[in-house]
Parts: sequence; structure tokens; C-alpha cells
Amino acid sequence: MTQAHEQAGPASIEEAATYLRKANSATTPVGFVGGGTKQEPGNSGSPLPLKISTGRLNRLIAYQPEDLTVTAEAGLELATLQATLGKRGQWLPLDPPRLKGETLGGLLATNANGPKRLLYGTARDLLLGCQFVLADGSIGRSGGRVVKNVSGYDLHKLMIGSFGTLGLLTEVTFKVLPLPQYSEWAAALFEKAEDALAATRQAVRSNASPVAMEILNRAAQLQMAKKTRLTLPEAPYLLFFGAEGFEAAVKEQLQAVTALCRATGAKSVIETEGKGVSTVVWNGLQDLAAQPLYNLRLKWSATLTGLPSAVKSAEELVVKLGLTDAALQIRAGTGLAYLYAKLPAESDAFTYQEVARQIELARTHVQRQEGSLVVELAPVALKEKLDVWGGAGDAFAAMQALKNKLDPKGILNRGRFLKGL
Amino acid sequence: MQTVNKTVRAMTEPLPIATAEREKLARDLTTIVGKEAVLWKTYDLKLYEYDGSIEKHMPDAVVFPTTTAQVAQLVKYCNREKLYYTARGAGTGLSGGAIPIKGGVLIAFTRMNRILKVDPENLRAVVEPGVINLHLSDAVAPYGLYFVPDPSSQKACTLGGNVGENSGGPHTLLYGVTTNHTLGLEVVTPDGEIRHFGGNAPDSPGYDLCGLFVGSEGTLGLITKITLKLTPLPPAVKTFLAIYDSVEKCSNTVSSIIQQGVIPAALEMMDHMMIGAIEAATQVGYPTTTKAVLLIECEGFPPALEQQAKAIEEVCRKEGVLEFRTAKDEAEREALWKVRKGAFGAVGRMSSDYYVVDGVVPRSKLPAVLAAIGQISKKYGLAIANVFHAGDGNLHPLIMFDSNKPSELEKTLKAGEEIIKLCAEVGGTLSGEHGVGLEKRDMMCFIFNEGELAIMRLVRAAFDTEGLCNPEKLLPTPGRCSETHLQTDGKAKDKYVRPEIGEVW
Repeated sequence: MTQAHEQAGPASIEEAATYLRKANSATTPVGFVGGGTKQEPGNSGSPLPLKISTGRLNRLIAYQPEDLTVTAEAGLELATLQATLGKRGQWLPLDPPRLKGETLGGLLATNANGPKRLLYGTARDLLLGCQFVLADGSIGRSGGRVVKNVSGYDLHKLMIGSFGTLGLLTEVTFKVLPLPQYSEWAAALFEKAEDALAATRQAVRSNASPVAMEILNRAAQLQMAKKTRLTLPEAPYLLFFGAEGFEAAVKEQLQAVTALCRATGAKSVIETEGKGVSTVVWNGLQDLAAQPLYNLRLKWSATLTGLPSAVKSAEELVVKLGLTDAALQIRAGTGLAYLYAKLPAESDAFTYQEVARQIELARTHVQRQEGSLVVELAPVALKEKLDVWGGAGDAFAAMQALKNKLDPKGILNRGRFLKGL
Repeated sequence: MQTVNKTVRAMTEPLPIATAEREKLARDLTTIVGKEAVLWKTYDLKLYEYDGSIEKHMPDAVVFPTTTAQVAQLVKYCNREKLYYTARGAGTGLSGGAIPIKGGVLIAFTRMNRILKVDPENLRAVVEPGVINLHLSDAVAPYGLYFVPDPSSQKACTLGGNVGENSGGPHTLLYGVTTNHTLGLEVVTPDGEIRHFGGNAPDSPGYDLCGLFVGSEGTLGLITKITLKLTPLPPAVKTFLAIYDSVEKCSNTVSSIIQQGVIPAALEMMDHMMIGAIEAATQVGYPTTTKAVLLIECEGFPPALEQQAKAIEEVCRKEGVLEFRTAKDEAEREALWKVRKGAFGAVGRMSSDYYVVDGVVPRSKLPAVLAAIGQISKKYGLAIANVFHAGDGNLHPLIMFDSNKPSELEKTLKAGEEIIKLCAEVGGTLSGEHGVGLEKRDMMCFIFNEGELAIMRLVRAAFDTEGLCNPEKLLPTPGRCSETHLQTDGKAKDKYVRPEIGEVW
């Protein structure tokens, strides 16, 4: 967003609360910014005369390696936290695209994650508690600093992925894990997406517990090879899979998945020996979503058995829109498919109206099978022509009731989230 | 926040129902659920006035709906008639969540007990809330799958209750508690509407209302259908018993194991009082100098298990283990678990009554907290045995008492409260898996201040607009946290009134 706005940089939670209280009294719409890496997703929204930055709320509050918990202010950068944890042989097992400056608050508000969510889960599995400020400046808290807790409502779960529309996250506590002792990846070459997807379904149902299962089409492979400078094998679909833990187990886990891949039609399976290569592969998969050359990012969410049909629909969309270089990254073990593309400028022959119509058609298709389609990134001119989030079905009224209680004047990130939430 | 308090107070308080009116109520309810699904006579209602906790209160009627549509009609009826309603599963709850504390209609889900769908390819099951926890794992075992949360009451408790309380169990250390395995819910919200939160596919757009509902103790609506995640059974399991002559060495082992890398599937500890009770009941043959034992279970591929076993044994030896036993086969493994699972029963042999406390502390604080619990035991002259999920820092002190002795229950509850206060003071929390309910409602002031609780009330009011859904649970009434100053490690610096016994319990 490019509107002129005032930026406030509170140094304490109380100061942040004061800014919000004043904005609320004046019914001034407010936005939040951490590292500024998450300002694109969502609807374009209303002009936000005030932006509150968490840049100065960046302290590490408490880190107890022996308890595997860490508490920090929301403006702390994820990379800084990971470095601190890394010194003690631990990490926060979330692997969103590595973006310079990304803060914990931004990560949580957008529910960012990556390939390894298959094994480690997402923020909702790792966030133990938080402190937040509501629109009227009142300070709330939920959860705590222990790994098991059923005292009070899990309001921190509401904050995850709510795009700052319920409150400003100020302090967060995570469960962390020891870094895996050993990690390795392999890639299986498939002619057909359905076969790679079938292999994935069998792998997640087996007890091989892979850390991630990612399928890339040719365009995505080329992009990854370019970024990582790895020489990747060539196939219409490459299924990357990895395992982490004790070395002996990792070998056995990879062997088990390899066997499943061969049984479902993989031409060959290539192992990436050595820890260095393994990290490069993982980072390549992790960062693919954030390549600056793309201006369109669509996310399909489906059941594992619904995923082949969602993938087919994504490929049809690519053909219909003539996006020949569109990259497809299928988070196959989780039930997600991402499409990244460089959308040409609008012309008589290529109207965003038509692009919007095709995306809505694809959404209708996946919704019929219990899934969803979210437009994570798109040119503003396209966003204006469609609903980036899709609906929330019969849950929407309950979401709205909640929003009305917590932000009755609707000042927080107005217009950015699902249907005006 | 002001507005909520006003709304709550302005509402007309439903009055207790006279027997004659109860007949009319029963007739009305019969038109919704049928004659065979309504209880209203006092001797029937008496069976539904309690759960696994200490509190009791009789409902005015008990209904057993069989469909979501009936549940929706029941809620609409209660709204129209201004009747309180409370959900109930198997009644095994330990914090009073299913007690109809202000009377009204008790909606029992025991007849909504069908497993609607087992979908092994998607690792999902769809169940009605009355399905018994263990029945689900049994039903999916042929597919090589199971449902992870395994509360001690898993042979009796319902999945609806598990979701309501966000239940745990010994095996949730590695894979998480109920909330981590609940993907979607069908609920009847207090406006009587049927809604669907979360779902089969990941990342549903909008707020995570499914995450909010899990553990909300039936205060935001009634759950009528649950989509759960199933997990592949582990390829192999290894179980160990580590015996110590000091509680400190045993708790230090817990910290060291957690820190050394791979987290075990279960890590359970029992202290000498508990061991004494078990020894009296089953003669396991622990050395006479035993002060604490640790039950450790690991899962994975055999070569990794060997590596993990070696690492764990090394840690135990380094911390000064007296004896380290490995279960050689399934029979030996079962024998080790039988001791753990029979712990409550063993205490039952020793003492006519016991009170189970549920609190959580940071794992590093275990030795200090266990020592302090010993002091509390001395102070009140009550024996306290400890058996707990050490890996999570989730304590379960069992306070033994004799309800026939005057004021012993009162003393027991005070000792329990002191233990919970201690947990809060060292940076822990009130409950790890049993819930707040009635039991700990006013102790919420130990960890949250008035402002924070007011926001939780606001969330409740967004759903329970009429104030009729499971009243008096989870959140203390506004202003409860005043007077006695309480300083905890968290930020609850508000004032707290110690409730008089009988007022709260």
C-alpha cells in the first residue's frame, strides 16, 4: 500500500496501547507493521492513516533451553530468534520463505510456514501463549509459558492468521525443539502428478514420518535450480522428500519412502548425500514462494485425496491464462498446492476481469471438495476484481460476532481480511 | 468490557423450577427428542448431578439427543424459555465442567455415539461427540492408525468431552494434546444455529474458531460432530523403567532427557509415596531405597530406537540411577504400564478418599516444586502421592484424606489450592488437562488479571449472547480478583479473594 500514513513506533506495550486507544476514540483506521514483509497479502483494504510498527518491541524476554520454551516481543526478527536458539542447539520449527526482517508478529498474523509443517505442524501447534492489545487499547493475554495448558480460552489461536484484525500481538511464547541431529533429502522423478501424489499419500499414511513432501513442476524446478545452483534431475514432476532425526532412522525412513515412490511409478530416485546439499535443497524449497519475479501467488487447500483434482484444476488455469512459465509447488503431504506466476500487464487480449473469473471458477471447483483457494499475491488491479480470501461458509457470522466484540469500530486493518473482518 | 458486565447483569436470571413445572418442561422436551430421551424425575436426575469432581448440582431435566437438528432445537427452546443448558459426555470430567450448577437442561451426548467416517487415506475420522475415546483408536487400529490423546479415563470418556476440555494423556508429550488433533467441528452455537469450523482440508480462511472451541469447556456452544486427525501407529516401541533413590536425581533426569535431543513419546514419574501405594497393591519389587521412578517410552524405527535407548540409559546413569530396566517384550511393557495406569487405584486402596490436583510447572522447576509439595503435605498433615506427566511438567498430586473426619475435605481443598498457587508462582499454570470448570474458576485470578479476564468474557459474550450456555464455568465473575494481593511470576498482580469453602465448591 502506498497511501501516506503516520507511523508510530512504540517502545513499550503500554505505549502501543496508548496509540490504539487514541486511534479508537477518533475511529482512525490502524495498520500494523513489523519487518514490512507481509504488507502484500490480503485485500487492498482502506487507507490506513496510522501504522503502528513493532520495530522497537523486539526484546527477547525469556529463554529457558532446559524447558524448550522461549518468550519474546512480537517485533523480534525470526532470524534473530533462530540464531539465539541455534546457539543452544534448538530451533523454532517453522520454515517460511526466508525474508529479511520478518518478525514473529508478522509470521503469526499471516500464519506463515513452509515445507516442514508436515512433521512439525504450524504456528497453532507451537504458540503456547501471547499478549496482545485490542483496538480500544486494553491489554489481553492467553495461554502461558508452559508446554501444556488448558487454563482459559486459547485466544492466541485466534490471533494466528487473523492479519491483525483482532488486535496487535505484543509478546509471544513458543515451544521450541532440539535441532535434528541429521537431515537428508531425496528426489523422485515422476511422469505424472497423480503418481507423485499417490506416493505421497502412501508415505504419510505409513510410519516413515517424512519431514516434508514437495512436488515441483518443470518451471518450479528451473527456478529452484537457478536460485540454489544445484543441478537437479529433470522430470515433468520432481517429488522431494526428507527425513530428520537419528541418522540410522533417517536412512531407513528415506528407504521406505523411496520404495513407495518406485512402486507408484517413479522413474528413479536420487539421494542428496551430505548435510550441505540437504540444507540447500530445503532452503530452495522454502524460498520458492518468495521469488520477486512472481506477482501472482495462489494457494489451493484440499484433502489429500482431493489434491489431485485441485492440482489438475491449477494446471488447467495455467493453460487457460497462457501462463506458460507458471511454477507449481505442491505441499503434497499437507494438502496444499501453490501456483506462482508472472502475470502480464492488462491488455485487450488479456483482461484481469477474465483472470478473476477463471480464478473464481477454480475456487468453486475446490470448494465443492471441502477445500479453499486464496489469492496470496496479485496486482492491485486484479485484487479489485475478485475476493482474495473466498468465503468462510456458515462460520462467518460467528467470526463477525467475534470481530464486533473485539474491534467494534472496525479500525484494525480495515478491509484487508475476509469479507470485512 | 464495561458493556459485557452490564449485559450479564441485565439479563433476567432464570429461577429454579418447581416440580409441577418440571413436568411441563419434560413434556416440551419430549416433543423435541422423544419420550425415551428425557429424564425429569428426581431419582433419575440424581444420577446426573455430579461428574468426576467434588461439586454437585441437580439439573431440571436430562435430554439425550440423537441428531444435530435436535440439539439445535433444544438450544432454541432453552433460549425461548430462558433456561440454562449444559453439555455432558460420560461425566468423567475432574473440574466440574458438566455440572449443571444453576440447574436447567443437561444435554447428554451419550446417544450421539457413532463413528461417522473413518478415512484412512486422508488420516481423518469424523465422529459424534458421544464416541468413547478408546473406541475410536480400536476402530482405526485395523488401518494401522490411532488417535493420540489418551487420558487415563480413555475407556469411559467421550471425544466430545476431550475436545471440550482439550484433554491430554501420557502419550501427548511428543504428538500434542487434543487441540493438535482436532481439525474441524460442527457446533450448535448459542443462537441455535448449526455452524462448521475448520474442516478436512488445512488452513480454512478466516479465524481459527475450531482452535478457540477446543478447550472452551462447553461455554461457547455445543459440539455435535468432530473431525479428528489419525496418526500411523509407530513401527516399534521401547519402554524403560528408571529407579532412583532421590526425587531430585529423577527430576534432573527428566530435564536432561528433554534437552539431549529426541523427545520420548512418554515420560512419566512417580514419587515414593506413590510407589509405596503401588508396592502395597501389586508387589512390583522395587528396591527398598526407591524414592522415585521414571517410566520412559520411545517410538520409532528399530535402529533409531537402539540409539535413543542408549542415549537415555546414559543420561539416567549420569544422573545416578539405582536401577535401569528395559521391557524385553510386549508383556513386560504392559506390566510396566499397568503399574502407572493402576496408580490411582493403588492410592484408593490406601486411602478412602483422594483428591487429584492438576497443575503445570516449567520442567526445570520440578525438583523445587516437588519439595514444596512435600512441605504442603506436612503443613496440612495429609499424605500426598505424586504421579505425573513429567515430560510436560504436568503434575498430578493425589491428596489422600478421609471425608468422615470433620473438616478434612476442607483442609484437602486448601492444600490443593496451595499447590496450584505454587505452580502459578513459579511460572506455571492452573491446569494442564483437567480444565478450569468450577474447581479452578476463581483461581484464574492466580494467572490472569481483571483486564485479561474481561477480554475472555468479551469472547464468551460474542457466542453466548444470552448467558445461558454452561453458566458459572471457566471465568470468575467480574471483580472476583480483588482484595488479597497475589504476586505471581506471570503478570497477575491483581487482588484475589480466597473463596470460603462451600461458596465455590
